[in-house]
Amino acid sequence: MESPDWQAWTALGIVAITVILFAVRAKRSNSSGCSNCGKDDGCS
Amino acid sequence: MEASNDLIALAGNPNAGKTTLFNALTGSIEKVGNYPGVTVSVKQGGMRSAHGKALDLIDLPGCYSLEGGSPDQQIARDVLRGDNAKIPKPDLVVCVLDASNLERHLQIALEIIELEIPVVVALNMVDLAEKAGLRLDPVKLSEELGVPVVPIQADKGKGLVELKQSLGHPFPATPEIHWETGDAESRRAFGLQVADLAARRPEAHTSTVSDKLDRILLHPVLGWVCFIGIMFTLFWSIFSFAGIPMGWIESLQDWTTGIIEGAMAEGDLRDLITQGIIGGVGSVVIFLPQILLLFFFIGLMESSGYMSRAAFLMDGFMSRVGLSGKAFLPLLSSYACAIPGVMATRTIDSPKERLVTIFVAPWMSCSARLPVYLLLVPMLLGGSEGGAKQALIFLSIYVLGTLTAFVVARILRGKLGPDEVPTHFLLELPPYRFPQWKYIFRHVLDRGWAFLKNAGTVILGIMILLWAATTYPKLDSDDPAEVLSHTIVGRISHVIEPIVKPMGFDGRTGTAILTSFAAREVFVGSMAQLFHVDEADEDSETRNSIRDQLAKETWPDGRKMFSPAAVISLLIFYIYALQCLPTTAVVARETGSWKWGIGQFIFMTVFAGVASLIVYQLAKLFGLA
Repeated sequence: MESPDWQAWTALGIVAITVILFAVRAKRSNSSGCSNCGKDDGCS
Repeated sequence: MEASNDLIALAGNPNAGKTTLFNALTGSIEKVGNYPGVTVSVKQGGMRSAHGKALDLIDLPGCYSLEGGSPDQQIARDVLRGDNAKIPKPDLVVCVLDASNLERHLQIALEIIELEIPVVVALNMVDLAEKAGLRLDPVKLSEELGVPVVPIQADKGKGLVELKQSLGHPFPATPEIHWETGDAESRRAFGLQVADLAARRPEAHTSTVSDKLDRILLHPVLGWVCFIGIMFTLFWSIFSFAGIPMGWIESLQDWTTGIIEGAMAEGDLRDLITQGIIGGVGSVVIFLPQILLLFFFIGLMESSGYMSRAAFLMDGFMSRVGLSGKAFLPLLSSYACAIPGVMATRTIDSPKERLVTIFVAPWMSCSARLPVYLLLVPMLLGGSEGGAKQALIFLSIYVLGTLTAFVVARILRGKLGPDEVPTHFLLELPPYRFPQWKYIFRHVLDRGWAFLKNAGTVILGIMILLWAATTYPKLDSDDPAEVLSHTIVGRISHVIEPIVKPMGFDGRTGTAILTSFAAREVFVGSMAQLFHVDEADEDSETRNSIRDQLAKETWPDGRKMFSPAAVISLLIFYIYALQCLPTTAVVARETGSWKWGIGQFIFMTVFAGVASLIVYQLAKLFGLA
């Protein structure tokens, strides 16, 4: 079965969204001084 | 915290049961343990009095005196004196005292009474005191101190209604003081006199179960045999009991992959889902049962009271490396995660000892390293999992990290010089108790959830990016090696291979190490992707698939790529490297300087690289490559 174009574009879209989310996260961490590590014992 | 509510503070000695009472009154699930120093920061919560009035409650770090210099003592002292900028002076203090150690616990209560704040005494663990043969007289205690005294059993929720009733308005007046204010000797003498009247000891000392157990567990020889036995059992159990739930996760992973492959045509999106997301994230999530088991055993040791005995056993050893037994508990906590371990150093009085402990704490192998070890250790023993030999190698890995930490601590302590004010180590050995199962299971579930949350966010993101980096830019070729070398990862691998090759790694392993600087456990998923482990093989087990694939890999000259020397070199790198950005951030915060956080990161990374290089080159000399 030939690879439909929509799969390639959707995959690229997911990758792009991930890059944006990481960038936003990094910006937020820098401004709040929190690394958002998700560890419950961390920044209490 | 609403300013209109009255503020109640829980204060007392370490291990008096303050956090257990805090949890019982507020419905929180703050960490509790049967060893001193669990709480190192102020915890806040809300509760209602017996008449339904909203009250704010804070749980202060435990301290033996308000005069000490450790950061946790400073916090407690500043809050109680109204000198803390963020927390107002409490309207009432509940002094939580261990009924079985009244003579010692009363000292802090007397110091707090001197501050002229309304005080209520919660006489905790009355059941254990009575079991030990003490005849308690709370009425007499109340008369002597001039404050209300409520007997409670915080862990069983007994006496809480009476305690809540005593927190209603009007708050008790500050009592008349019968000793010389500010004179420690006079306060001590009064405390001993009151303790003698309010808690009468039996004429003949009867040996308790704790005394009998301690005769074995604290014995100079038998104690160590038991300690090593307990640690060995812990690692053996992690291997043995986790196999079944790991099998379930693998089956679920294979089943999901099968469904997606059946439903979707071949293409980039299908590859991203099956190889990137399910393959990458799945290869990390598979270790959840082992992480849960590790935290369960740590919880069991904390809750039963064994943790303090381990610290006691280690004190003599610790003093030889320039640390005290007080540094042992933070180091022990770091086996679970370096972040609470670094925070627990607040109980250490000496600033220099605290700095040294923070510096070496990340060398205690934390739970994030576990997936990497679990992948690599069986490769040294022919690929199969389980058995005593693997448990022994595991134990050796933990011992190596610990010993290195001690050696570096010794050197660093020598460089920093002696303390300006000498400090003394005081450790309480609480009676053994039946574990508080509710808190153990809650804590285990919390940690499991934190692990899954990390896998579902950061690790998922990294896996998606890594898939893209191993896929783009595309090359129209039938040779998989040629296709990979054309991608971003192929190019990065090409650049870093000359740097990592002397350590025994090729460019792909080097890239997997680079990806794991965000979180160590990413290494397993990265290896699965970079070495194109086929998740869809029937009857395959993910970890075995990765190991089988790695075992097949060869250098261009035909030599095995993952020889014992290369696997040991990789293990050494992961034992020593500090691949945890949150730890660096917490170290910077706790030391008050990024210089220490970044310095520690650079030192540990360089140390890991050099150690890995030396070990590989030596192993090569002995023909292990």
